[in-house]
Amino acid sequence: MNGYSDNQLYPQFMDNRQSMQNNQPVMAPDVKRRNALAQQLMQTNYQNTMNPQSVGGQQAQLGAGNAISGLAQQFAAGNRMGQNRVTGDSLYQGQFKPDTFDAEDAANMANVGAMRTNRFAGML
Amino acid sequence: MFAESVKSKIEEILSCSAPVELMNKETLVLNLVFMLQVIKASNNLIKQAILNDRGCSNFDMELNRYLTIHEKEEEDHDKWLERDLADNGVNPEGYPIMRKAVEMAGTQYYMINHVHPVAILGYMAVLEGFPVGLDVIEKLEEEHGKSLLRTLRYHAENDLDHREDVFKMIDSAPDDLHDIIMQSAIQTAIYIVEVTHQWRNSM
Repeated sequence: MNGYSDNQLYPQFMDNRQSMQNNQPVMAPDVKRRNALAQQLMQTNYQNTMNPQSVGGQQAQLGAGNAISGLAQQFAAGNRMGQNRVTGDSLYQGQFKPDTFDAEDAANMANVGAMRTNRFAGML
Repeated sequence: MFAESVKSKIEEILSCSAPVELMNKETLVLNLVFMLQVIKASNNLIKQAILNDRGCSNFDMELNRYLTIHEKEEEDHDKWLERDLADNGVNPEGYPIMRKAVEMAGTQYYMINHVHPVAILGYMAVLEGFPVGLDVIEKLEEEHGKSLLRTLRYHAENDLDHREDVFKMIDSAPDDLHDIIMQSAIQTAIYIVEVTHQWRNSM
């Protein structure tokens, strides 16, 4: 396995396994994340930027996408102005770690950046 | 222009990615193995889309023509990438099948077969629409050697044209298909964002 443990490759799964072991309620990671993101959306009155026609039967999925976008805007705004920073308590800790959000994240969010060496390399 | 909305939505979502430090060999290899697991499905996905695209509108015919050409272009890219990794002492089979790779390609199987084959355009827009820059490839080659970057370089050189083609196709899609293309693009981009955060949390 080239040194990768399940915990490294499947952190969400392992997170849930730990919850089960501790007799804590287990939610699917996506549900957990969406709930946290939805709560965040309500707090910030983030406006859905998607064309409402695009929402259709996939509202939850699109909602997640928009929520991520909304958070990016908050992160960027917070970083620029030193205020309105998203706090760790209001987010799903496993996916987005605002407590470790730093200048690099801000730069990352500023653009998708073909010319950077710290971005995902995709291909078809 | 519908393609512009798709492009900006993808950019908006991808901008939430965690940094993927490609100068770190372990990270680059993980990224390449993930892509290998994803692109193993590319040809079959395109073939499925061609088989399911049985409409007779001008757009259907154009989509079919576009996908038929593209399917040939993508042939054996997984084997190329496998060779790049093998030449650098990496055995991709030593890695577990990554859940996000399966989800990302698997979502397309569902959309193409059970919703509409045009979904693949959203997927292609994300994977081909934002190639790594050539100057980045050069830096990576200096750091890790050229043989590991051969397939990625090929895509960096060719995906700029592919990007233009895919967004042109997206623009020509009739209004009633916009929703599925957008959903497909959004879901694909979200999978990528999620996998980058997984990697960041595990490194």
